[in-house]
Amino acid sequence: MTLAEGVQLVSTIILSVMMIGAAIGVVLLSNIVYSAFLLGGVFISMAGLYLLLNADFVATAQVLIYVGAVNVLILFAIMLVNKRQDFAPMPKAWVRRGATAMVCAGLFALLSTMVLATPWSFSTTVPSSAGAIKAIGRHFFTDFLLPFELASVLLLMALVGAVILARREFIPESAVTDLQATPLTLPERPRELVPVGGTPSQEESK
Amino acid sequence: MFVLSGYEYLLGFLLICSLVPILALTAAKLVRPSRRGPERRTTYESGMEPIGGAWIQFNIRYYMFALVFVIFDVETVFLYPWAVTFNQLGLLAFIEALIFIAILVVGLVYAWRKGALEWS
Amino acid sequence: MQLQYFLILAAALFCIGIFGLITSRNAVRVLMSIELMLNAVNLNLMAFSNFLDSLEVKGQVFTTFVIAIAAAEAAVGLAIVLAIYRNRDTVDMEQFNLLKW
Repeated sequence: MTLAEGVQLVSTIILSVMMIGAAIGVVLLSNIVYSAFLLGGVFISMAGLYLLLNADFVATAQVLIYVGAVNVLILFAIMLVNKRQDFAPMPKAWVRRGATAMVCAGLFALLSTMVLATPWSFSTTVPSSAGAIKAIGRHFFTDFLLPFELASVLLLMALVGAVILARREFIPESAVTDLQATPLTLPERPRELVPVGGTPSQEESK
Repeated sequence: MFVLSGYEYLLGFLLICSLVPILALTAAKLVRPSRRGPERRTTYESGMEPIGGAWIQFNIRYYMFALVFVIFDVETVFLYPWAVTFNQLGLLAFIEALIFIAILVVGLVYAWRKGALEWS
Repeated sequence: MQLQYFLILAAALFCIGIFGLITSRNAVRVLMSIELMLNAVNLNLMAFSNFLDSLEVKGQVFTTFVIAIAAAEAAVGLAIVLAIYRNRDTVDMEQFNLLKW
């Protein structure tokens, strides 16, 4: 027994409206913490749409990775760079936004006409009701084996790179006195390598 | 066309789940007295006086843990289809999955040696 | 008509992502816009997988890889933002002008 047609239609429409509204909120809201939570709303609605497209495994992966991990990472990053600063206003900012909005609307119109004009060759087979996870597992270990192994290498590189980049401790504000020294030197804080797991005495003496 | 079965329970569950807080908050709004004061706008902290705001700068160690978690979360998603199709795939797939895990164990050892897993 | 509906939805999400990518001044919001665009691509792939190729679900395999790459991209990108914040003390995209002539 599966969902009735009307229920599917209503769920699709609700999920689409939720997704587009949350995405517009992510882009337009001025408070970035609200944006981050709305991004979680986009990810969850997307998982619902995947479910309506008969992809239970990918919907689970979406919730697990995007909502559970990536969104939490983004929230932590926001709280790490949390300064509550107002950016200096730029002259002619509305020209930039208006031009970008026009270009985006034009791109959307172009894509929509292309989608509607293309004669798609729909497959007539009915997808299997057991879900696609076994087919995905077979693909991973037969014809997508090389991407599968390369994905692990990519994850290893991401882990090593991100640990190296984020490892340095935050340097206290007192160290930043000559930030705007001369225009020819790069205005950077003094960088000293302090491991994350450093002893408390080291951090006290800094 | 939606062919998966059993999801009507999920739908019902979602509806009931979203009804519970809506009903609870509406009922509370009907019953409670409405008095506005500066005390009411403070954060509820188990009866203690809240110290500082909630929007403080987090420690970077939280970010390190979240980082390692993200990487191994993705690894879990890749290993789950292998576990489901384990009986059909055989020994070769087992060796391939071991290679996959071994590459990521290198990353775990690296993060461990660099102290990304320690709080202290 | 179902496939076209999902494709247009994905196109709308992609355009919102591009708008955010260009106009945002907070570096973290730029990364969030990139995630939106990757999600739009994923929705395209899933719609193709369901309506055009429903037995060999290669679109779902692709989507899994894209999700993995998006997670790696978010981890490294946010670490880069943190490193820049540490050096320049801001996340304003307009002030990341070290490479600008």
